[in-house]
Amino acid sequence: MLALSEGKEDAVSESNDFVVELRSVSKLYGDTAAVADISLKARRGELLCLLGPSGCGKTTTLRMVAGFVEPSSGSIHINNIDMTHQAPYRRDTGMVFQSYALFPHMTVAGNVSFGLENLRWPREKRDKRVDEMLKLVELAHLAQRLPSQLSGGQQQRVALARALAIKPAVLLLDEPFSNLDAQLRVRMREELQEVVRSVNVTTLFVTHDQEEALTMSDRIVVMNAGKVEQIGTPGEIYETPATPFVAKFIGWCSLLKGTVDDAGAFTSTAGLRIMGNWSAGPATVVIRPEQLKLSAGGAPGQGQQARVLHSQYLGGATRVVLDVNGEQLIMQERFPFGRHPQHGDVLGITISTDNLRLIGEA
Amino acid sequence: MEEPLASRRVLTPALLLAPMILLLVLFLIVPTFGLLRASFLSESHLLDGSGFSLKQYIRFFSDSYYSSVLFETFVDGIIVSLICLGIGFPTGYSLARLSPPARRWRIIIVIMPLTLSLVVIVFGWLIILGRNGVINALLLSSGIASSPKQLLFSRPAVITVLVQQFLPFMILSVMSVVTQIDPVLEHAAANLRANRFATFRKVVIPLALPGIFAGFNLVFVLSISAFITPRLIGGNRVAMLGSLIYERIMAELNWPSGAAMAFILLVSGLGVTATLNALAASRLVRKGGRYAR
Repeated sequence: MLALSEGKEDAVSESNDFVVELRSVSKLYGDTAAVADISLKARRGELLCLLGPSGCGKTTTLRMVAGFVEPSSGSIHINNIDMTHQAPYRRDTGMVFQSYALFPHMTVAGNVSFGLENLRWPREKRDKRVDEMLKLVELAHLAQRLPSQLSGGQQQRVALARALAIKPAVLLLDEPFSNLDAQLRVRMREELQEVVRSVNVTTLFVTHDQEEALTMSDRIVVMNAGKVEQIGTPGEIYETPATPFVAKFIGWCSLLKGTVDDAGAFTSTAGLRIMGNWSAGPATVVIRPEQLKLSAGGAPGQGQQARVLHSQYLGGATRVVLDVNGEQLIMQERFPFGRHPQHGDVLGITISTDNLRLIGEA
Repeated sequence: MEEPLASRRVLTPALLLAPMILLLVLFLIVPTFGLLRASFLSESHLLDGSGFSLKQYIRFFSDSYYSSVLFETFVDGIIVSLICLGIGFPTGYSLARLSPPARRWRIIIVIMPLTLSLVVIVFGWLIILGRNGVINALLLSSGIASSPKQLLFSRPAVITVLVQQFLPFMILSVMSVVTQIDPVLEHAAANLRANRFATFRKVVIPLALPGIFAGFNLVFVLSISAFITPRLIGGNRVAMLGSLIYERIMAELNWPSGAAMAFILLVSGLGVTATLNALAASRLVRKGGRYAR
């Protein structure tokens, strides 16, 4: 499934089949807005990620969709039905909680069956569904265990099976990997992606981890301070960040503030010039590490003069912070063995202007 | 020379516990055995303390009056515990769901009655329930009753006063367990289509069961062993075993008979508590799916 950009920029709407829609939703706590005027739509079968630093309102947004938090204004629609003021149990959502929130007094099968019992499924159908879900997450052999007897990864799979068992219109995931160690996290990410794809359920996914967002989502909603900064595919978010915040939050980059002159060239406040063909005015340039290249072996005297401030050896490459004309730029490069740059070294570099992102100031 | 670590590990806890153990042995275990011994005496050997007789027990179980008092005592204990549960569970639950600072002074209010002398409490109730008491005055002035009602010296009055005395134990038991239940579990239940009642029934209650049983046990044991309240509030019309024992020993100086009743009360009370505990342990795990049968 190919995800598309959304909102005002939405030019090529493939489908108007929205499962979740938020219309100007705000949530105030006293005078502070946890969420300020957010609008977004999730298409059927799409994996939409809410990405942002902690405290940006992404979890509050998810909780409003689930119905645990009532919005101060705006409306929330699930399958085109206004659910803004409906109780959580009347909403067609299935949630995987950050702490999994498995019922400690029920077995794995009991947990998965819980929602179906509340939906008053007949027993045979329920048993079949529980088996099916446990098979899906490969836990059929642990059906009789209690949650306390499971590992973190297994608990998470139970939580997923439990949420999916009731066939929700939308699956809600609240930082589902944050309680797992780094290696397990990557594996669970793949597993979860596979399961979600196989049942083709619309998914709203909250994370602060940009790598998770980039690898898993069809589209990403980047949030900051209760507002939406940008909505787009992982590619759009990375390649054409709409704001300096988005550029900084997704991947490594250097942000240069400055102005574009009438000739279309950019000059940073410190005086670094980058040739181009942009429209005049104040602007910010986003330079990704991979857009800095060593010129002809990196010998000084060629290209821009760059002095090494820090260098971090990463194994496959070295991340170098450079001083170029008074601006700090981050470069990532594979240096030949034994020739890693040291503090104070001078390198010759070129700034590739292909796909260089310039954010004009509104 | 340093003491070996292993022996210190055994010695330190023993030393720390020693004063408490000494106290319990001297003032609980030894008197209890003394009482047990006394229950096997016949009245004629009260002074020399010799001989062995099952007379007291035989009399208790052959006289239907005593067994009916024992039965009434247990029924009252169960009623008091159930009423305390009904009032105490919502209170304990809502206290548990408050933030610790908001909870603090509310807990003080709950505990406050426990700091009062029982005699003061009972006399307070005598004033409230008496013929010229507060309730009768209200009944008369509002025209609900034309003459003062006899409120004291009745079983409902005893139960009311016992509930008031022992309610804090239920509230605190429920509260301490509910604070251990992650509120997110209630959100999870709501997300899985359980309405508030189903969430309460299938998640909150089962997880709060240890607190419910603990509170029930406490209130039950305290109620069946109460003697001041039944004597002063119930008078001669309400017989509970506790006040009967008190009378037997303090008024009639009949130690063997009082001791035997005390032991019957102790053993049967323990029996009820043990049954409740066994029940609590077996009901704790809920299975699901095909395995629910």
